[in-house]
Amino acid sequence: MHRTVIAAALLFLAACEPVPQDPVRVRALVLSGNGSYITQEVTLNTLTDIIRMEGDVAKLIGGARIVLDSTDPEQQAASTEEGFANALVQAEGRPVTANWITQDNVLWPADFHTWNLVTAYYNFEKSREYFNTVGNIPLADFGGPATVYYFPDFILKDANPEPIKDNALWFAPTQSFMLAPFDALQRAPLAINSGIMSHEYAHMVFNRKVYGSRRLPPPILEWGAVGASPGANLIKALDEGLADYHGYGVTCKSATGCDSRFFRTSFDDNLSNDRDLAKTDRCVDAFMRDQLNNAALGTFSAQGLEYKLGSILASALYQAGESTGQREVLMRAIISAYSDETANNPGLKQLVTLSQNNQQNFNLTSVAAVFIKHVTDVPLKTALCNELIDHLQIPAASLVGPGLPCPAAAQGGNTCTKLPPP
Amino acid sequence: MRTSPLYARLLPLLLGALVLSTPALAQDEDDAPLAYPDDDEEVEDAPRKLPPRSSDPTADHDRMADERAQEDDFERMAGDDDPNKGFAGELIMGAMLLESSQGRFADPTFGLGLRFTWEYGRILNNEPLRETLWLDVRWMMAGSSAGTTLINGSSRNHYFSLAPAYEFVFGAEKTYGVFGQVGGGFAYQSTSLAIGEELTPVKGIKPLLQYGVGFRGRPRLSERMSLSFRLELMRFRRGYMDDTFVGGSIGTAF
Repeated sequence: MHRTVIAAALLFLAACEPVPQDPVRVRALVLSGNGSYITQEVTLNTLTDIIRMEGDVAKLIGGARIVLDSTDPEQQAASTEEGFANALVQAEGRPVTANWITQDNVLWPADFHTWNLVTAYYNFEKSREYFNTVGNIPLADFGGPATVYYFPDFILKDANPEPIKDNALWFAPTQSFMLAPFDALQRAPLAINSGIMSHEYAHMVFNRKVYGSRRLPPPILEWGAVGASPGANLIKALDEGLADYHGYGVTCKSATGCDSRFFRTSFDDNLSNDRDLAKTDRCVDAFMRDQLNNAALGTFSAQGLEYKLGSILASALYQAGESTGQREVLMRAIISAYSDETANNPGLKQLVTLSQNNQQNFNLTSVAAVFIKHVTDVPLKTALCNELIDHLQIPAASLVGPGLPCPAAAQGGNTCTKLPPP
Repeated sequence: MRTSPLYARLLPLLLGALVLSTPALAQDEDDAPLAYPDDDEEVEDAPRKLPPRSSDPTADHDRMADERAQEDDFERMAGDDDPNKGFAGELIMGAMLLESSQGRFADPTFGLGLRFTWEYGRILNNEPLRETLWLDVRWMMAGSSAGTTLINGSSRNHYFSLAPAYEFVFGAEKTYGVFGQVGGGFAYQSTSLAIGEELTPVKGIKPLLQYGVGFRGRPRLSERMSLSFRLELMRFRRGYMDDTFVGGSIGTAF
């Protein structure tokens, strides 16, 4: 009798949870053709736990507390990257609990945070799909599900004792994403913005491929520790610019098509225009070149120059891909250039290693050469050369000529006024 | 009126003492009550004597059984004398700690509700269970909202439950007690997601399991009415989500 009652009770409780289907059909928020968000049925192919929002792509953790504090004795005493990461995480948090209502075998979010969570997961899944199909990155290379800290208390104590708000980021030390709470941002939450989530996912891919999944990447830690840090400044700018470019690439896979201003639904017009990839007149100017070559990483970043230089690079790539109709080919080539062990055709990771003892060897010219050499299509290669020479103010002679990567036809564009040699 | 077991035992003795008490000695003959003719006058005038101890060995057993029967009668009478019907209505307020979909310890919000109580133990004709068994019919509501100006959601959870309880009462008047309660019902959830001017409503029903403990009091206000209040810690399993209510209620019992 008792067993029957217990079994019935367990059955009752088990029946309370939605029955997962494979793939899972849910409602999420997606951008419509008229530029506003709508609720739409989507399919999640990798989600294995629909309540905890955990799957092959990501696992979402709430209530965590991560504090970066240079005065923390535990962080100071950490002798390994893992130990340092453990010292940062002051509260592990717990899995989220998605609140569902099932209607016609489709799961509907029953509160705002579940809408936000499921859309974030959907955006991460689409990002991985992009890097897998467009970027040719094998699924195994992504590792296990990425930890996504949802609305954490994330504090960079040296800068501000208050938790970060209105941001989404990839944080290499913990190898995790952070979706910070919103405060001043009252437009579309960042988790809902497909382009921004893809931008962050691109940072993870860059970390995996270029930094070898290091929590404390040597180019940042070592190059950035000295006074002038051109290599560290450039690699930070590359990370940001390429993230914008691939964020744009992911929007091209959506039903509404490519969106070069994907920041606009979450941020104001100023930022959206500054990061608009379709803007054609972006150029490295004398100040930017000087700061890139002579500023310390802290100074360079404090001015947000990694975003500005990154946007110039992203726009150059955009122009090359769009003008030739070879957008995906170029995107694939750029991703393949992240790491390449092939002799005489090193990737960025290998270039970092080659420049380890002299970061000045990691410069705009050598980086441009890495990208260009990973493009095989001649018209695309020519267009890419022209855009990079023009917008990044790279001397044409350093890229065009016998034994150099650019075809002779590439002499750079005329959008930007040539800077005199430094 | 309720009687304690001790009082129930004393009551026959007191009544017996009254019956056996002598007439007032101060009265003179003129003040003497009128005597009604009585067929058993002879017996009435006879001095009272203890009945002779019977030689029957079961006589004591019979006497004790009679006494027990008398006590039971008094208990039943006590129930019959209670002018209250065993119903109560209360307004519930407190903190509802909603299970956090964002993974926090809880999402606290305000909980409000109504409750009607029936002391069904009264119909069992058993004094110990008379005020220890009761049943709640309850409705509670808790809501939450979150989001940005552009995209935000507003949710309401309605809890409908039927929950029997057992109360351990204490005090001479059995006015106060602690209780445990388990019941069930259903939860009705409604959410409205606003994207600009566009609203997307989502509604659904989930099974509800309710369990918890509390303190209950019913101090008497008048012959027929009592103040009814509770402090409680109640858990609601809404589908697969656990919400916790910490609060109190106040109302009247009649």
